[in-house]
Amino acid sequence: MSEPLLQVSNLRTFFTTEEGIVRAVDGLSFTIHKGEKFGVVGESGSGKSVTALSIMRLIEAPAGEIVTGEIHFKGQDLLRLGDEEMRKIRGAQIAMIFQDPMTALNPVYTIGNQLVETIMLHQEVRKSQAVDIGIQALDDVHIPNPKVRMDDYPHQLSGGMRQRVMIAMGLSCNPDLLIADEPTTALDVTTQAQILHLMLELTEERDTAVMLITHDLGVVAGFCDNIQVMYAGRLAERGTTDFIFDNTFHPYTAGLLGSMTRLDEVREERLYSIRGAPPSLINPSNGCRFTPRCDFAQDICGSKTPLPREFGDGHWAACHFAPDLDLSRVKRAERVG
Amino acid sequence: MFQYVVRRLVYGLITLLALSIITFTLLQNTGGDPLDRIKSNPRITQQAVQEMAVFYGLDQPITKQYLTWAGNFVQFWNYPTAWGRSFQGPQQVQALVINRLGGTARLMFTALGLAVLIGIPLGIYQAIKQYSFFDQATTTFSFVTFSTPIFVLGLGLQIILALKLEQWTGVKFFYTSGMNSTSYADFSLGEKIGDTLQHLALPAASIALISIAGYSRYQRASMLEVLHSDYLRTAKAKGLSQRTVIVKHALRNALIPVITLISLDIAGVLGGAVITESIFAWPGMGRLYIQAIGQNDWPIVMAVVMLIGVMVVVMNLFADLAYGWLDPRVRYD
Amino acid sequence: MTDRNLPPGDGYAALDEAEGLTVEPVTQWQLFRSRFVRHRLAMMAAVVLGIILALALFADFLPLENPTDQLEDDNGRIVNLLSPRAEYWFGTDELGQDVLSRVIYGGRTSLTVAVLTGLMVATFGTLVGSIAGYYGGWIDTLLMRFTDLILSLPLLPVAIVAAAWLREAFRGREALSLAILLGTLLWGTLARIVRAEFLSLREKEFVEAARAAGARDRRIIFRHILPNALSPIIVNATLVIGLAIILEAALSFLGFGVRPPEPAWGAMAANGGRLAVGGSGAWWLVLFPSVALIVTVLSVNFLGDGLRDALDPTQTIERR
Repeated sequence: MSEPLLQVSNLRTFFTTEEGIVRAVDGLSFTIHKGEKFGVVGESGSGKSVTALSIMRLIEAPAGEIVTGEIHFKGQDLLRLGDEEMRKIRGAQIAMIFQDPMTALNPVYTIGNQLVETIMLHQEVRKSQAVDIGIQALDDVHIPNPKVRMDDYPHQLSGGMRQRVMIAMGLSCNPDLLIADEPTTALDVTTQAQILHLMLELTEERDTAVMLITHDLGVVAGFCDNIQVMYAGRLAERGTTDFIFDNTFHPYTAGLLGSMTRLDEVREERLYSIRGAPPSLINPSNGCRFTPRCDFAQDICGSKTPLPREFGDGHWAACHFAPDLDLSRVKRAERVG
Repeated sequence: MFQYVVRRLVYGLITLLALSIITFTLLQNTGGDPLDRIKSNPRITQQAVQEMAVFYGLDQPITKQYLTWAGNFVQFWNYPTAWGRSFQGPQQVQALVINRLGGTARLMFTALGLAVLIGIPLGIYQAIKQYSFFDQATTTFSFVTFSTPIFVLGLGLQIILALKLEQWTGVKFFYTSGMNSTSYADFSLGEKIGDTLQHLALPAASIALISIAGYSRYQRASMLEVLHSDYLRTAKAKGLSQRTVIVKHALRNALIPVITLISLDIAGVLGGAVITESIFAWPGMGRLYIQAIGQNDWPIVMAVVMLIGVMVVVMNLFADLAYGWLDPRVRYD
Repeated sequence: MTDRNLPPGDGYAALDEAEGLTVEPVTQWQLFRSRFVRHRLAMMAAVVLGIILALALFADFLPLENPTDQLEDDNGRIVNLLSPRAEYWFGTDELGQDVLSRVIYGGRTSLTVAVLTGLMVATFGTLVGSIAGYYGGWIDTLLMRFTDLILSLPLLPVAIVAAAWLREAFRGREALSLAILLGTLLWGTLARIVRAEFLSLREKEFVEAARAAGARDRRIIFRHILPNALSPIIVNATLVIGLAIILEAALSFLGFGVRPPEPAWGAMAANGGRLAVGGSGAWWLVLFPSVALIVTVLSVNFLGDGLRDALDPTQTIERR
């Protein structure tokens, strides 16, 4: 594998609320390599977005705080950078796309204004050059009439178009890493596929690494080289896409796979559903956090925290009984994608 | 757009019509004859009173009186006779009201200027420094000021900053009444400016303090909402500096609702001038209004009410147009 | 550099340490303080209001001088302009009336006007808003045009003219006339709020269900929709009460409120102010009615804010 681009180790990001301290990300480590398409999957509240915002150092103080950890990006620890140095990395070397394109663009400025602003911030170009780069960027994301669109306000574009603009903005400075936080969740199904395809095409061309955050395993299946499944702020399972789908070790991953719907299949039996709801991350109990919802839980699960263990070739799982569980009744065997 | 403005102006005219009818009717029923003072003068004969009533049109039926007044009032270009004559003296109402309008304008512009220049930055700063000691101290202060009736504030400033301060220091810092000293005409330019400011300071401050409290509260709330918005997160994620994020991306969005609010508030403050001008014996429209009501001098009352009403209509329209101009999402239809 | 893909090493090794880990206490404190202070203030405000209300209600049973009696000393001289002292806690005014008694009875005037206004606004605003919102169409257009008209009248100038008329028509019952006046002028905002609530609530499934079950309009409005719109009504009525106290005081300050010698805070402050500026040095005549006013309005507003936070998070102007 090529050299590591981003290495997160032992990240803990906590939020202070009225009810207590929420341990949103609680001891997470992972690596993204150059040009890698890295998927992060989990339910809402599993800490995916907080991980992304921690990397960008956009956790809102004073409520949120990165408590421990290191985030090494191209050799330097982002958490030790000054604000000014971090600013130069944001948008230039690490760009981010957000979930809701309807609210992610400033309503009172034109698309062009917001695009050119980004370009001029990180590149030594004159205004007119920046405009040309901006038009090219819109053209790259297949927006028709890019010259005209530059003068449009966000509310004049559809959701899919706005997300294209966000991608154009994110890629306009050729970042090494693009973090896409649920980029297609707010879009309708056909647009979803187009946007994903576009992102894949553009990032492949530029050899840009992508950290794709989603709650939908179907979305990452065709897109990612590696998948990391998170549960309650911690790692559940990580490995190549093939491994995760074919050699599932963790009951939670199996549950996610089992509850996926597929259009190309007629099923006799009911879809599997993971019972219960994600746990509160305020004073979480000891042991494996998935215990209350796990069909395979034993006594040890409630008392001892399962550390992630490697089962060869970068396949990690945090379950006491990996790889020995027979998960076939929960998940379906065949590869989706 | 044009259609929208025309429609709004038509509604505005209907409002003004209703306002004039309501006020006129109320004034006719307030009891007391506008000519009471003249009648009580024993040297004026019954005959003369009768002639006066005819002169002012008071012998006509009320509807007729209203229509005559309204017909003349809208022809405001017939200065200074358009708005009728005061019952209490020889003055033409239009000349009198417009003269007093100057005093009110001086007070209003100073107070509103101070309120905007202090209240808006204050609210923005409070929002940026949310939860800080400064934020909590100043928001508490705003809340208390906001709950204080303006006449209490005015009296407090008069007693403490004018009377007591003069007693303690032996120096006169501020005046408690009037717009200028009686010997104003003999002053040098420097003295004139000083005298004007000494008179203006306290009444302007009492209006300004309450408006500052109100504006900063709204500005803070509006700014906080923007600071938590998705597009601000996008702006930060692009690597923009804190300064650019706030000045370019947050400020414009956060100012839109506040500018609207202030436009609507101006007319309210103008109505509230009645109280401030009474406390500080300020020769403005508001004081004239109170005096005229006391004397049943309804042409003056009508003129002042209608001027304030016009102001309300104009500022309402202005607020809407400003909103559309500042926020590209707004369309008029 | 080693590949940090591994959680090992420091992975969860620091886990046990982290279980005992505490986050910087300061940030938590600040958040807490900010939220707690508000609600504690709302509680305190309710208590203070309760006391003021009780004083006003039971003033007749308190060992107070009659608020309109001119008090005399043993020699039969009127005790006017006495500064606060043991016999007269708040002093006496220029007519020899007991200021403490007048402040308490003045509170009765203020609160009567304010509460009546609040009730009128709640009734009228709810009625207009719910009819407009429920029926829609031309009824809605008509009622809302009327509401807009009322809302675009310049409040204080119209209130003054109307007060000048009403106090003639309601001689001796000025408090009632002021409440009618303020109630008539202030219901517009609530009507708009209620209408908006009704517009969204009438499309909800439970209303559809009631309609399908054959419920009549009146039943749907009062049984099904109104209870769900209660929070904003309560909050707005509370804030209107605060505004009514200020307006009543302003009107009586200008001489268009209740007639002397009947006590009212605004009129007392106005009178005291005249004397103080005239050089009497009788600060107590201004201070006590003013403080009573500020404390009452402040309590009502704090309570309203607290209620809004508690009952109606969507209306919160401050995001926390």
